[in-house]
Amino acid sequence: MKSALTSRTAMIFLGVVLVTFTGMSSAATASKPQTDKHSVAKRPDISGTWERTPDDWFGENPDDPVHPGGPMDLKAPYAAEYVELKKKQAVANEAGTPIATTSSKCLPEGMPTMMAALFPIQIIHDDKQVIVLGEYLQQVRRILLNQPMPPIEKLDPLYQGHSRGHWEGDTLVVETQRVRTDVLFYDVPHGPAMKITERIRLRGPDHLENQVLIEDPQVLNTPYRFTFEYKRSNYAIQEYVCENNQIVIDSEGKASLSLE
Amino acid sequence: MTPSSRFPFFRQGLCLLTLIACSALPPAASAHHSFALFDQTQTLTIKGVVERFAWTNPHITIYVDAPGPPAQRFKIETGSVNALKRTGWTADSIKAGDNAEVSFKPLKNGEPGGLLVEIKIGDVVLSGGG
Repeated sequence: MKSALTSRTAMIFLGVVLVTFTGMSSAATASKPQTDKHSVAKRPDISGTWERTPDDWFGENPDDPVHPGGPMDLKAPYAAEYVELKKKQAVANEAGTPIATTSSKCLPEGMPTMMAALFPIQIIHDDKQVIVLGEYLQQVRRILLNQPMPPIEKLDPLYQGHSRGHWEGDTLVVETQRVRTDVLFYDVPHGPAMKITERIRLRGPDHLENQVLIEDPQVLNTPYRFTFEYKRSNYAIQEYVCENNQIVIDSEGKASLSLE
Repeated sequence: MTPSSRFPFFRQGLCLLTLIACSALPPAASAHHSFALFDQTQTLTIKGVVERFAWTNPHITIYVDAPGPPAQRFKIETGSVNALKRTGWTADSIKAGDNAEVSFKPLKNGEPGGLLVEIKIGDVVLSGGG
């Protein structure tokens, strides 16, 4: 009996020591990333190559693609500018000198257009990060897991912005901020405080869903919501170097094809 | 963003008549520039000799010397390497010196060039992509 009590006392003591040590350790590492309770083995495996679905997601006219969440609720000056831009584009298209886009200059699409996956995307992930590789223009997007988003004033603007993510059950929740303001989404600009929130989850072993929410107090009256759906693909992403751009852009921003 | 998959003739992809059967092919796509450069209402056909085949992104380009008259060099653009590779094109699908018959959507500005619809080299027919 005495032996048993001694043993129990020792276990309790050991437990107190461990709890205390663990607490000290946690306190000492409070600024470090949280541990992801969804380990590699347990969390959903969204890795692989993905292509948009259904096949007709883009609509009928390549020069007037379907907006994924319908028309955007733009604030007055931006709504007027958008209407003017569409008129200008129509005239330029008719003349055969379409207005150049960033893509015409071989610049990255940026966020959230990259996730539209006009060309396939590949997702690779582990406990610390999710990497999205876009075949088009060899774009790379890094989503850091379980790390706080730094204050916006500490972030430099990037084409893909700064992304932080964490798993909520079977859903990868990603917040993106500080996308460069010269990155457009369906020809719509955004302000420096635009925030993109994505909720990415498998709807089946070969079906990935990305619910996207764009909040932008400068440009949008109401948040813009849409969903990108992807199907798993066995395609191996290829190199894409935009080495031979034949587009000539004039002083008005209109594009023509070089004859060189 | 301008995928070519919405144009029926782009979706035909590659039909190597002597090698493989035409079948369902993945949509080709290009995001690089607008198709408004080209007159989609017209299709022109020329015969000539391939002067150069540029297996490059953002677009594969085929330079064809047509005897005319007047003798002209046509610059024929088609899809990206990535898109057309998926439909069966390879870096040596076309070679300088090949005799070719090329149909294309002409540039609206009237310059000798356009967007490839189809190129025939012997028994091989390659369909274009945007």
